[in-house]
Amino acid sequence: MSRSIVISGLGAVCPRAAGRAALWELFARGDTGPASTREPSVPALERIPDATFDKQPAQLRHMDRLGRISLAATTLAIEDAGLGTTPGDPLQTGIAFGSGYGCLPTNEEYLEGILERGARYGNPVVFQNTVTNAATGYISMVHDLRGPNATLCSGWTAGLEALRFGCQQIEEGHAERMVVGGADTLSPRLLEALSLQGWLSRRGVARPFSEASDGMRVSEAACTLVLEEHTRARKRGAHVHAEVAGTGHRGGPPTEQARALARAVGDALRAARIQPEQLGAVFSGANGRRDFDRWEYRGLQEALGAHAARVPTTCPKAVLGETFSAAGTLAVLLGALAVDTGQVPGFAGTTHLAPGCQLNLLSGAARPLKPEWVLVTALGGEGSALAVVLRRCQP
Amino acid sequence: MSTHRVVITGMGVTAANALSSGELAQALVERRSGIRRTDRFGGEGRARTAGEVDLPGFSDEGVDRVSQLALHAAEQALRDSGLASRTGWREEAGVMLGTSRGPALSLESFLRSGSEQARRTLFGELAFSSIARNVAARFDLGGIQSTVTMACVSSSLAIGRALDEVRQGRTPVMLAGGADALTALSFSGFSVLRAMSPTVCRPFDRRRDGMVLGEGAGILVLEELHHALQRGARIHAELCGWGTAGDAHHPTSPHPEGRGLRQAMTLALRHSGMTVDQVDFVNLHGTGTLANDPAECQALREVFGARTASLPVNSLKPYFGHTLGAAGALELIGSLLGMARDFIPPTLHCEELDPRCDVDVVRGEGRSQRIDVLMSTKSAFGGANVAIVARRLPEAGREAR
Repeated sequence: MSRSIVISGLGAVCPRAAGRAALWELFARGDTGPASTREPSVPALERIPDATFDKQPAQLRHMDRLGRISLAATTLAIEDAGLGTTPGDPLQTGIAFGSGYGCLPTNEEYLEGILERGARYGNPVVFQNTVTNAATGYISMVHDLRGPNATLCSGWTAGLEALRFGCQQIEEGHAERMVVGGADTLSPRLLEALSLQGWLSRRGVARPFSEASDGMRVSEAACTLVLEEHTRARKRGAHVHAEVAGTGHRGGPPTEQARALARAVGDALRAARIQPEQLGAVFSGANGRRDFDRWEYRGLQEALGAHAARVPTTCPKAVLGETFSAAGTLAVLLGALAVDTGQVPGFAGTTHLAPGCQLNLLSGAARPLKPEWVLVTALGGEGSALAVVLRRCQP
Repeated sequence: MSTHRVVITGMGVTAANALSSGELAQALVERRSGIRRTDRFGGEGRARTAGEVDLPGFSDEGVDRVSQLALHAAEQALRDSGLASRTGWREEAGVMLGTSRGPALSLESFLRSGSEQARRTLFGELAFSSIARNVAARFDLGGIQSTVTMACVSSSLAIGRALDEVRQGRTPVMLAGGADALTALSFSGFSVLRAMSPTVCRPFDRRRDGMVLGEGAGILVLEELHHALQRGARIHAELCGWGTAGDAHHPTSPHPEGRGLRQAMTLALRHSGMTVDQVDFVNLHGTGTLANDPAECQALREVFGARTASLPVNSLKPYFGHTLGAAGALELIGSLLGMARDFIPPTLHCEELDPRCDVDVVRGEGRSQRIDVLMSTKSAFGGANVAIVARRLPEAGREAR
């Protein structure tokens, strides 16, 4: 990257944790949570603390669920960045969000209403949220973000695509700071549709790369990161969690996702100017779906060679499930905390690797590894692959 | 850091008044609109007209209508670029598309369907990303696939992002644009918001009373300049730069002084390395709603200052309706077609200019004028704004021939 871009703020809202500290604690324990007692498994989204919203009651009234969790995660990230409620010059601060399914649940709600009552009885409040960028619109209003503004809906990799877009906007000089994130919500019909594909674990437990895996567990989540130029962050005395040293984005047909991932990882490593052997940890996007994990493994193997079997690898989705576009940004959040704290979280559930899969998976609680370089991967399931290389920042 | 120049070598159109860029050029010169009466959506609201597309003999029945619109435009764009018959470029070529409603018709079918098998099949079309996936699959494109969903600026932002991909040397060829189909969701929703006109769309007119919806797709082939020159491609224009900015003002209404649009225009000029004096024409959003038109005229005045009085502007929505996520791409293509013919298409139905829109709106017969540099701007729900700058490239065109 031509400019050094760092992550200075982290925020997330997940079913069993809200905020950086709570999330890290959850992952540091390697806690995969209770297995679901029903099928398919969907951990209920915990109530977002009211304190997150008390300054914005008027806007909140009209927001849909996607907007609410996106705003909650963003508010936490901006606070974590030490920026108060408004992050500096509004024209120099932009926002980019990615969502896998976007406003689909809200569209569903609006359409069900008019199918039942007739087109003229549509709910105008629901209708204003039937554009996926309603969420970024609300966030930009609340935090007065008037710089570049983008909402991407490219499937499950959209969150990392938003991160990459944010980096590009800073590199191009369009903004000094970008708030980037990923968020996805679930609706009963979307859940039904995912279930009909046979993708969900019947046991309600995600076991990435395991011979016992039987599908993924899904969840709602939102995760936001504050990106800014390194010198600018240092100048204002911000705590810098990690540097975004390189990104890669590749595509291709759904049958060649492993190759797309390998190429995306290769691009990210080249952008970071490092060799695979320098990676200290991998935060993999594996989710417990056998086909998905196979693509992931083959992609890692092709990109990292022999180092794929050696580098400590962890799978955040074992803890929170598949959170679609939020998953990539959540993995970056955890990766940033790993280089920041010198600890890498493990996970439970995978005791025996799937045949032919040779990885150094970390099980259980976090352990001191002090990685300087961390790789984060995300597969879209339809052809897209994203990779991000993070680097520890020197104090 | 940007080192590559980006040119447009292909343009594809699916619109109510044209099923190719050639037909669109003709329709604009003849001032022919494709808006007509429709009863497709029950006629329950006050709107009775729309820009509906006839896609005769289209065979992709397995995909949502929005993908069909996009596939038609993409096929033409590739043919127009001369790339369709060539080999060796598809592996790295990506697709960046914008859409507002996406496959909402499939969602409607999904909700209506009682068959598990039908719902399982429909699921593949439900995600917004299915359009880019379908286009990439049909034309065997191996590069990145990306989808922008930002209401009415969707395709503009997709074009801007694709420009950056080529400009920064990550790929030599990108398909960029957008598509949206007429849906019950849009027809009902904009009706409920009373944003639709019961008669015609009259951008900037004192009597304007709302927009008229349309459907369609606009797709551009963006190519790195030398890649295009080496293969002797015909170059329509150079894509110079773009900018995006948020209003941070209201979920559905634009900032009354168009502050986000102002910033987007400023960023686009800066990204292009252009000054306000170099811009010959601006294609505005011009939805014909009460709030939009004066706000963008105000943004124009603030960016262009004294130049505004002699800066021709127009809106192309009365020709094919407000095509939402496709609007940015379709209207950029319409503007480029005009540029190639030294012609600025008139804003249909704008007869009595609103004093708050007192800028040089091209009306009547249109205007014969050479254009070297144009800007196209779009604004959207959520306070999103995008501006794109393109210019004529005579030197490359000569070399190309």
